[in-house]
Amino acid sequence: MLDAYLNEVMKGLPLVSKFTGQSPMRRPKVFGIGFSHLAAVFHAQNHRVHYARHTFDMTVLTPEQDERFRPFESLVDGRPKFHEDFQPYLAEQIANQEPDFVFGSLWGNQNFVLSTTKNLRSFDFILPNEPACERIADAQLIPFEMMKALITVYFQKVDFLLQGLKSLTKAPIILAPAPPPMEEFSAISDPRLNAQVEQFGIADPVLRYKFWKLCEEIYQEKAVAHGVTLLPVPPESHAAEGFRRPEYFGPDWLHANVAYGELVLKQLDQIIGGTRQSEVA
Amino acid sequence: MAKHPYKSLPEHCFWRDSVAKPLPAGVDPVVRAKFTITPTDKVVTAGSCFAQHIARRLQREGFNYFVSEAAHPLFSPALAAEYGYGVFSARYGNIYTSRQLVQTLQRAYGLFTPREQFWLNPDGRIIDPFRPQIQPNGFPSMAEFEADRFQHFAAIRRLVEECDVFVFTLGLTEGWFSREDGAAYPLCPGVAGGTFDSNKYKFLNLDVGEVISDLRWAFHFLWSKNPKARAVLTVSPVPLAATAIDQSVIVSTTYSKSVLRVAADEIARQYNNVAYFPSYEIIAGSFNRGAYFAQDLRSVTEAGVSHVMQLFMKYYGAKPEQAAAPNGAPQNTDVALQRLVQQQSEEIQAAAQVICDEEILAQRG
Repeated sequence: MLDAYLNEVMKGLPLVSKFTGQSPMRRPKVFGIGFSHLAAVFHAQNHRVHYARHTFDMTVLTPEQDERFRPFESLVDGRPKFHEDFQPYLAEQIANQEPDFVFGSLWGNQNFVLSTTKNLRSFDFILPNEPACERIADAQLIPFEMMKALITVYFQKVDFLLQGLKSLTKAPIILAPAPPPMEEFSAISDPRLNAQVEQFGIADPVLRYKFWKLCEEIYQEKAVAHGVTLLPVPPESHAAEGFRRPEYFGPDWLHANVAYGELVLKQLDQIIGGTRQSEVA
Repeated sequence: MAKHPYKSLPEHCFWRDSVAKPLPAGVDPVVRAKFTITPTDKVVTAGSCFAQHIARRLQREGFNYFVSEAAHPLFSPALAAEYGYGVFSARYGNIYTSRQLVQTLQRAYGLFTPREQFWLNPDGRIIDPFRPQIQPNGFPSMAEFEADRFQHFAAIRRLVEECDVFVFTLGLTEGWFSREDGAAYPLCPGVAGGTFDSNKYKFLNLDVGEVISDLRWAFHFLWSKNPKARAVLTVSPVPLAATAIDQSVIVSTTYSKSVLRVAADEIARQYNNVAYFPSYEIIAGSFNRGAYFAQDLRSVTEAGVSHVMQLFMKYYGAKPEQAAAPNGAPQNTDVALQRLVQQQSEEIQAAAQVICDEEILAQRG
């Protein structure tokens, strides 16, 4: 099923993306940009490099972590404003790297903001495509699209980054979703979460699933609007109910681990064609 | 000099002294109130679009405006308003006719279930025929539509049973109804959803007897659930945007407002705990020479609303000795909760942000 999907998305890629006619020794160059979920992919790539199994070269830029660009995003008159030094820096990096592909992990913690701890006024919403999904008892029902409007604001930096990237490179841009949510947190000991949980309690797991699906919809719309490819969430990474499998738990309640990153790299391999190149090499 | 009854009448009974002579802003047609509204009294509103002005000002003027279907504190007032929250005490949208008021109560209590429950738009969106503009483009799924309506009806029941003062603004007599079961629609089917079909829908222009009968039913029902409730009736001064009758819209407007005004008077005279408040007269009265209507000659200006609410406060607002609630001003629990929820959201965001910032460095295979 995944292969079918990837074959489908590859249809739209220009031929140069498959490196036809280039030296088999040349590994594709991938420019990775994004937020904290990029870490799992980055570290998985490092593993590959360490064992000389990498199929493409990858450099990574995480703008929110760079002191020079803080605050990366701030609200001015209710609208997001991004650090003015960032775009020239990005232009310089792209010019230096001349990437063949851009990999974006631009979906951050948007799905966790309201679904981690219990809200003082319990709320719920109904996913239009999954109306039978469990409801939270006695919770205030919020119109789905009202919630979507609220969360969409948190995704405005995705627009900013994609616009910036598209103005600087013609390389295909491939986005990855955030890893699926965790059903329970008991496996994870995180002092910051513990403080929150002590104060408010843990949100209903179904709310984490619904927010993840809501964010996926917004992210998908962004991808379509900007004409870029969005990878599906790796099917091996989640159970039938949509929650992340324990073998992909990261060090905290937000992030996935290197094993998850490896699943994403495999998806990239299929799109980039790096696996085949590696075999040839 | 001969004696006659007019000799002893107060100034407000005379046009020259009470209407022609004062400055427009000083004209006061209220004269007296049947009751006052204390700071702890829960006030709810419903009615036509003019009632939105009343609702907004009641909140601003410090009345204990009771909202039984509020937006979650996560949302800004602007976004909430887009989804029909905060416009009235519950999310029912405009209730233009007395028949709509009756059926809204009946539906909330399961006494009337219209055969036509929803309209399905060609794009698959679900429209609530009885509040077709309550959220942009209707509902994305039947499940949300049904769950939202369930929640809405519960909110109506709560405000019926808990309110102290019910302010209802009568707007129209013209309306569209189901031929099948008489269900009253706020807008003509086809305007904001649904498809107009003359075999399914009919036009009615309610007469004064029908409006009085509707209002009697509504108030008796209200008191059956909440005997302590009092009511203030007003008539919207906003003219009809269009009439479905083949005559001048001015003529239709005059008929409609006359019927509503007579019905309101009849009800207010019949029941001690129902008052009539003359917002219609304040806005539409010739003393202001049309100054309280905007350029479209329909919309009411802020100055007009201010005149109305200033008099409402003067007569219905708390007297100085009543102004202080036992523990000071009534606690607006919604505002307090909103602050807490926002604070909670900021805290969780901050925690998540810290983790994200550190993540690249912290994560190990």
